Amino acid sequence: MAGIGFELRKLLKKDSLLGLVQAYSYAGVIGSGPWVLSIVGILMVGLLSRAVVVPEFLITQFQVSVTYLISSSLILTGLVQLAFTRFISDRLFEKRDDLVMSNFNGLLLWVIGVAGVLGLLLAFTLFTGLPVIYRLLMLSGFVLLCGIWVATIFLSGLKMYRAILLLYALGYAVTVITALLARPWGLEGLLGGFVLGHFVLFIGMWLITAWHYRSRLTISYEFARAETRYPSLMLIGLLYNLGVWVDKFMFWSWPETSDAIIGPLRASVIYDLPVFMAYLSIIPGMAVFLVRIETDFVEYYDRFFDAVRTGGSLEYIEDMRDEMVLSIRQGLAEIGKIQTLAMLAAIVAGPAVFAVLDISELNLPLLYIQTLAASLQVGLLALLNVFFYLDQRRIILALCGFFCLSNIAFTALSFKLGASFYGYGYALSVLLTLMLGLWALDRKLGRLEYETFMLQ
Amino acid sequence: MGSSKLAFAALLAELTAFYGLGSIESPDLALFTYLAAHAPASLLLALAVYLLIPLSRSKPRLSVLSLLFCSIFFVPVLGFVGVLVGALVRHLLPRLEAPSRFSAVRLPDLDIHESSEKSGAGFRQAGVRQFLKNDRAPVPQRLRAMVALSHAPSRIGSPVLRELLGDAEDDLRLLAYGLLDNREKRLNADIHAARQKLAACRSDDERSRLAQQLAALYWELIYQGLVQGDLLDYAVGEALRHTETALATLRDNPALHLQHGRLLQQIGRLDEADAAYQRARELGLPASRVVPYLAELAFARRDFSRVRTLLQSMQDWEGLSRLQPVLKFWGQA
Amino acid sequence: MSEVIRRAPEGVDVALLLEGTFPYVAGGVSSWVNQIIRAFPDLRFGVVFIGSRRSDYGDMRYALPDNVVHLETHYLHDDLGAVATAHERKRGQQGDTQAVAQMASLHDAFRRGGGREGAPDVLSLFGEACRDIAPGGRIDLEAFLRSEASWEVVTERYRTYCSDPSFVDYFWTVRIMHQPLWQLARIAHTLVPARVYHSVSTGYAGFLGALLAQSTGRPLVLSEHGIYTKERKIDLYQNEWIRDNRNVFQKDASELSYFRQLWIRFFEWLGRLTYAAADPIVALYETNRLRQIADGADAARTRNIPNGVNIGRLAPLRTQRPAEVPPVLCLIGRVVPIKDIKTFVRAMRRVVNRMPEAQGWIAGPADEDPAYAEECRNLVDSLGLTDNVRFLGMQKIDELMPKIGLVVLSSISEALPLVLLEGFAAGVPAVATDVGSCRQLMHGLGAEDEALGAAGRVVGIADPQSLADAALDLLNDGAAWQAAQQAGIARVERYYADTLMFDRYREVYAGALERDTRRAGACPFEHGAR
Repeated sequence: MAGIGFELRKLLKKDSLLGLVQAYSYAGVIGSGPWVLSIVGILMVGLLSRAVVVPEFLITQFQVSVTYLISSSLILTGLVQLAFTRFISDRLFEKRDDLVMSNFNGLLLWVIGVAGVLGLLLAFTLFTGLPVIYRLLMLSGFVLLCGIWVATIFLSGLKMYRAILLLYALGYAVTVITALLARPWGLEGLLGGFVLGHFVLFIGMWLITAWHYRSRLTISYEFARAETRYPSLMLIGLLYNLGVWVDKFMFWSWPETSDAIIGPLRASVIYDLPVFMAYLSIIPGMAVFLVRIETDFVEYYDRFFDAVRTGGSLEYIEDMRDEMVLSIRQGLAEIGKIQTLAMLAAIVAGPAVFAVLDISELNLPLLYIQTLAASLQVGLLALLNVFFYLDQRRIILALCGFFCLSNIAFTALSFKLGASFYGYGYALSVLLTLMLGLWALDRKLGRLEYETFMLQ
Repeated sequence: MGSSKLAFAALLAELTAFYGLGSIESPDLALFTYLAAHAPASLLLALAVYLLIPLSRSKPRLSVLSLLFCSIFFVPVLGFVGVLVGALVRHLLPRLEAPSRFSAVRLPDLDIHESSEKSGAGFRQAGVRQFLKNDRAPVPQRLRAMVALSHAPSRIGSPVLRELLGDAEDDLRLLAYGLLDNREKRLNADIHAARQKLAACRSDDERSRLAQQLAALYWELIYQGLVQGDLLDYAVGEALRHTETALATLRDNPALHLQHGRLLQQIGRLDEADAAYQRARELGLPASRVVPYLAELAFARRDFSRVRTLLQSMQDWEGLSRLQPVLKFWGQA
Repeated sequence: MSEVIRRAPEGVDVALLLEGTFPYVAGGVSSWVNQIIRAFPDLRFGVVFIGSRRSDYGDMRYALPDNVVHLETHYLHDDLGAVATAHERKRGQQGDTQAVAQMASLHDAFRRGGGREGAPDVLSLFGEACRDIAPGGRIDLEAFLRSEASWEVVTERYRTYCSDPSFVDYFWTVRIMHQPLWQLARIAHTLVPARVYHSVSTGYAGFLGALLAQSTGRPLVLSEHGIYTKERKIDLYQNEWIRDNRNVFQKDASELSYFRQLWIRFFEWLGRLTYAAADPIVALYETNRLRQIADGADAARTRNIPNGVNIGRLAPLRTQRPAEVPPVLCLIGRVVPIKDIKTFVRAMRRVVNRMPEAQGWIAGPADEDPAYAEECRNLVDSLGLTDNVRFLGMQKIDELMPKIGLVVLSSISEALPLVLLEGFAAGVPAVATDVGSCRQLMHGLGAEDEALGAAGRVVGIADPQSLADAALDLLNDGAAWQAAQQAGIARVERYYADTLMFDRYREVYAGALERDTRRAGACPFEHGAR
């Protein structure tokens, strides 16, 4: 996400309400990550379809199918997301732009190949017996989503945030419109809309990337070399995505909390909707933090290391360190404020929304605890962001590992303790990871100069 | 086989696949049949696309073909459309300029690291030269005076430093030597580099430019007082030679004529120097840059009335602060 | 990268501590060491060679005499002695706060200056510090490099004293400056026993001597040719790599770059500590002895022993000379900045203007400072002297001397240059700059010596004009040249024969060995302990 700060500062410098709104929506979209957007899109398709009377169970089938597509594609590409981000920024730093495009194509080939083969295998095993078109659409959707995640990373690496934003808007517009138009064809129609929308999104991204580079289609695999493979980043990407999703998978597969929806896919009605609604609250928090960190923190961070490299005085170096700490602290505080608002909104609006969606009010506590957990997760994301800046991969790996394992453990525990504890497992896991991360960050920043000089 | 034939065959295969899709009851068997027909169709399409568009220059062939095939095979129908659109549009659309990734430069901050307390009182002695030559003054103070002197313009500092080369105190002598040597080293390195370039240079324009540069560097040696005696003569000779080389092509360069004049004046060829100054003036060099030298020349010829006339013509110029005392002197009476 | 080439585990009589000289570097000091070792075949010598990087040195330049029974080499900038694993490096350590604080007070004592009144304080703290930095001591190298205690004291001192704002430069200057000391402590720890230590300079080798004297109680002899501290200063004054980061608000124009000051003070203290440990402290001539005293040496322990040359070997060369004086000016010495080869080259410009057939030779290795050698060659080129100035590389004195008309020495600093004496002995007068004892060699010291006449001319440093004129005087005036030749021969035979020098060193060694025996007798258990 480095480099977005420049865009943000430009917008903020306009010093107008519009600029401010633009800056924050930028930051929100980029910061909370594309998958939050996808969830928004799916909820939208669901709500709109509900409004124009499609059989309820079709919508559920559609939403569940898409949710599985998103989560599994995120976990699969999680392996390469961070490592490839790093690869791109390193190559761009070396001014080896030629390598960037060919490696993007190379990675794309790998990802499409692996996702396709995996999809085919599943189509003939778990999904056996389901309609052919459904299976083909699921396969296409899975491959496209994997490609989109990789392309998003690539475009972010090139700092083409505006393009990302516009393409996502276009892709989701197409999704919603075609899904609505095709709803007479039922599940296949909705899913067809989804696939077409994402197809447009993906092609758009690919064209834009290709546009900037020579028209020759080249493919190379430098990213797979041992020195640019970054195993720790691969592991972090996998563990983080797994950590975020593992409690949902557990709820989906736990018989007491889930129902079979379509073929092998199960869903948990009581868990899913509150969770996804809670995730919506991530967007403002992330936007606020990103603006803070990308404008203030990064500036002081740059000055800190510039001063270290080019001979600033120790006093100045320490001042910059203090400013870094201050900006992180302010960022976290602002997250706190925004998320408090989100909590209040959930408490106030929750019952009404549940009534509209026809969900039992018994599930309201779950919404509250999930909103709290999501708020904490904004903090965690922010923290990981800071650690990425400081290139503390060991710490991130430890945190993500802890997050993933504790989420599994506490979610399992919440099953044991019964329905009133649902959601607490995830929340507790995020909370503990966050505390751990804050402690590590405090220690790290406290001896930042010592470590920078004495322990490199 | 032409790409159009390939594409046609592929379309046929794909249609067959769809036909099968509609007619078979069991979904698993239908899917399998479809894929079985879809696979060769995808391969043919990939080949056709590969040949159709100037992708054939793309490398490595196997990887590119695999990418095309995977896209078409794993995303039925849309994949094919996408590949075609992608490949075509890339060629139809004008190429965008790569996003510029320039970085904004920041103003340097004021670094507050305080030094004045640590370094003690500054050197506040007037008359550095007298102080330096006073061999009863304590050595550390004289050393500091010399370090201060090293910040003075070379033309002023060099003669004093040169005098101190004979000082009884080792440290002073060595520091003076080090300071002088560094200045000379830098100039000589530049001279050497320019000479190398001149020797390797083929184009006439470039040669005269380099000659001008070399002449300026030799003049710098003279001006900063870094050469004496035979070396001075040698430097003047070289500077003159290079100036004349440069003048052979850059005949209308006023700065070069001015430099020529100064060199000629240095070796006492006053009439030629006068002519060179006049030429520089004619070519448009402002009077403020030429007149002082003309006056100096007149002084060297003991033509004091001309000195006065020349300098009085400059009375109105406020900018030449270093020249003000001289102007004032000659302006009197 | 340390290496033991010859080993004498049972120990040696005299351990020579040599920094950047014999046997890997050719030059005046190295020849002198070679002379001394060969003059005492009955003593068993050990040689500890300390260099910067292995790659800076070639093969041995001297055949090792048989009585060198032990030889080990150490390169201070190659082997930084770090032994920590990557993990340990990442983690850091606490460090011994108390020991580090003590080290800080030693530095405070250094800063207070070298007045005699502060000396006992410094010396007792120094003794403590020697034990601390020895392997297994309270502050090992790892602790210096990575402990938090060490970080505390480095930052604290930066805040208090550093007038240059750049912390990164300060940090690395301090590190690079001190790291070799730990390596020296390790060398001292593992060195085979010796009855007497003999260092031929202060600096790192001298510091090693001081460490050894401190830990073993054995005598340390110091023979200084040039004044190490002074030569380091020349380096530091000329070096442009030492940064000055002060901005216009922070700069006091009369203040030398802080890092330059830091280095100068560092070498001054290496010198002081060596002087404090050494007895006797030998200088080559009076001016240097006074300088040693000014730099902190105890006057009572100082003495002069001039260099000497082998007259018997060089005298026959006089008969090989051609009848006419060859118009050849020869600078014999390494091509390094301190020899100021450039002034010689510049002087040749004038000499050739006046005497077109004149030749200028530079006889000496050019590989020690290739960049400087390159600059010299470029200067020859840019002064249009390629036909008249030649770089000959290493030459055999015996073959060179008969072919040349004058020995020229344009150095900006010298002690008592052997090449002048060798030239005199071989019947070649000289023109030299007025540095070190050159004036004394040329004109004599004392009435009796002065009566012998001038063996050449002395001119100011960096003055090519005078250098050229002096050389032309001698070359153009046969009578003057002859007179100078005779004066040189007479002076070298009378005062600078090597036999005189050997006699004096025999006394020095005998005295030191006797002190060692007495010490061992008085305290038998301390023998060999460290």
